[in-house]
Amino acid sequence: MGRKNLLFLSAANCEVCTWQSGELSAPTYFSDNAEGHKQFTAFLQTHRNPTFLLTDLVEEDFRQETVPHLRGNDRTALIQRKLEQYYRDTLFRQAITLQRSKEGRRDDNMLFSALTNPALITPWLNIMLAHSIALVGIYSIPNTSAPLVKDIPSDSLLLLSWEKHAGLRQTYFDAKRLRFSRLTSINGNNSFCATAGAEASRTQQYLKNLSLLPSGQALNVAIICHSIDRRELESHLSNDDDMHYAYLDIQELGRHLGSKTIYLDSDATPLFLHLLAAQTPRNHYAAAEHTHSHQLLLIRRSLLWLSAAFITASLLWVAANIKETIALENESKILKEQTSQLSQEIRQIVQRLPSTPVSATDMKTAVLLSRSLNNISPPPQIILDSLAKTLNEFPAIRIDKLSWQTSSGETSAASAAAPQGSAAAIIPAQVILLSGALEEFTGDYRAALDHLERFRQALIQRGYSVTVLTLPLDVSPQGSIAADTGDGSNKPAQFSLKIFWRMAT
Amino acid sequence: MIFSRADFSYLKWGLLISLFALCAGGAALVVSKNFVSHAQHEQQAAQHQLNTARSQLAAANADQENMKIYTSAYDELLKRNIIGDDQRLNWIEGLEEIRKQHHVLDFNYTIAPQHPYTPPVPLDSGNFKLNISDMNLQFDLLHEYQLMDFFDTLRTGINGWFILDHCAMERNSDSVATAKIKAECTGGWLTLKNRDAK
Repeated sequence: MGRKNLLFLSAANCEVCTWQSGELSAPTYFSDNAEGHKQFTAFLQTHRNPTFLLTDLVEEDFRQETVPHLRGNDRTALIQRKLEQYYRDTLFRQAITLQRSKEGRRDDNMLFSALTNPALITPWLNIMLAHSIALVGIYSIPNTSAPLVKDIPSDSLLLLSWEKHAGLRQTYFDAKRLRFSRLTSINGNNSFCATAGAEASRTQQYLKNLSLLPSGQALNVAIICHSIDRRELESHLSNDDDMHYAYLDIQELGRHLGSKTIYLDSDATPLFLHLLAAQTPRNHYAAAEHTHSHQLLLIRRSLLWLSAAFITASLLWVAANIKETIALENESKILKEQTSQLSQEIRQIVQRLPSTPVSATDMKTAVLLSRSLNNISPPPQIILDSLAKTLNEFPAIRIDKLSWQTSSGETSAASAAAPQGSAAAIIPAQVILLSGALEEFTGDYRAALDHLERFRQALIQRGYSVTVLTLPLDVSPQGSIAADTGDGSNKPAQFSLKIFWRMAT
Repeated sequence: MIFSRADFSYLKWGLLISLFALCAGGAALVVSKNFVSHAQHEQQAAQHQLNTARSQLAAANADQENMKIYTSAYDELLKRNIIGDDQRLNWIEGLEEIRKQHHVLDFNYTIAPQHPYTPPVPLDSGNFKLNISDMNLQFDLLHEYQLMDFFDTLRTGINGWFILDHCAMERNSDSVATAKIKAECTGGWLTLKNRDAK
């Protein structure tokens, strides 16, 4: 965690500590005069750290008001108008929304506060602005106190603290929300113990008068003190129906907040400075022009961080790319080696191949093509061999005409029977047309038809598909028959067949 | 927040460093990405070369196998003048030689000009162009078997490849004539021409 300047400003005193990682340096005091301002200037020149200005002034005013719930520019204008109305003479002012009403118009309950005596702050602020010191913000003790009471289970709590150079600070929290604060000037440690009770009673009365403390409700008073002072405080203060006292050990509180400071008395100044540095709240009273240098510092830091982040991301990405490149190159190398081995193998095979005028692929194509064409157009001996053998078995059959032709797309019984895509299906059938007559026909049509049927069956058994085109006598229901018994024995028993044949594969 | 000229002076180094980081980081990214792209291209090229080599090896193995299987059959096709140009003189001489052997009583033929041949079924002809010279034959036969003998002799006796397409035989109506059967056949002399052949 970076080093920070913590400037504590009270009416009579200006002290500066440096803070780093929970350790608070011894304060350096500056008087509110020319010499003090000169020393402060010199201090800042050697400590150009981000600076927090914490005020603890009597001249801090609080006003609570209910305003209509607005948004955007209307809200900004309303707040600005109220601040101008209440605190026209000071730049160090703010407005906080405490809560929103749950009934009626649901107005906003707001707390307006300001440091009403700018003259106490301006000299120190001007020096910082003149030297472009990065002022983080201007804060006040009441506004910084909220983290100290968040764990105290009380809705009406008065927090008492003693700042050695400012006085007794009493801050009232309603439901853990800041409502009111007052500072009473006292001198010395003993006065703190002696006056705490009396001042608490006065504040209780004041709160009742303003109706901030509901009637009949006891006020819980939490006092930040050193263990040594606690005994004295307990001797002075006693609980009753209206006031309940509790004691917050300053050393315990500091340790709880991560402070490494050793607290020697009840002075809460180091505690609040640590709280401001460790749990910096949003800026209370500084205007935008006051924190301009700090904003620039943040921008410059952001730029540097972004640059560093971008460079780091780039380097990581580059590293990933280099890793990927190396992996790819290794892979390429392996692939090239494999290619080289295969090329060597190919060369050896090619060298072993006999020198031929055509490629092996062309040889294969030519041979397979010639075989396919041979199947398409077989020699007549093969086509007619079985037909000739069958005819030899039927000597009564005389052939008058015989023709055959390679079928080109004609659908035959054989083609239809062949499975799709099979070799048989791509070999065209031979179509044989046979016309003839039965010799020595005596007019016995029954015997003639029977003889031809046996001939047809014999052809089928030898692998032919046979379609009868004409018979000596058409005995089908569609045929017409003319009987002429006079010359029936002289009429030839003619017939014709269409025969399909396909070469076996 | 309103910036003045002095503010830019204050932020100058931060801005310059950011700009430098942006440029340097960006350049490093671009350069390294280029290296990756280049390596990817090289890897893809190497993969492609390997795939090509694998294909070539498979083709070489196939060539080796095909050589073993088909060389003798191919040589036979060459020997029979099936591969190459028309050998019309050989066909005519062969046919006249058959005529002298008297397988048939008589025959006449005509050979038409060569033209591309389209098989009745689709066939992969690869690098070869199929050509055919149609031939028409008329026969006078004593019996049917003479035709078979003729085509058997034609197939075995002539260096060439005759494809028979159609034949028709008819008994001669003139019963006193010597030729008992008349036949007419059509077919063609087929040749395979390698497209790469000069």
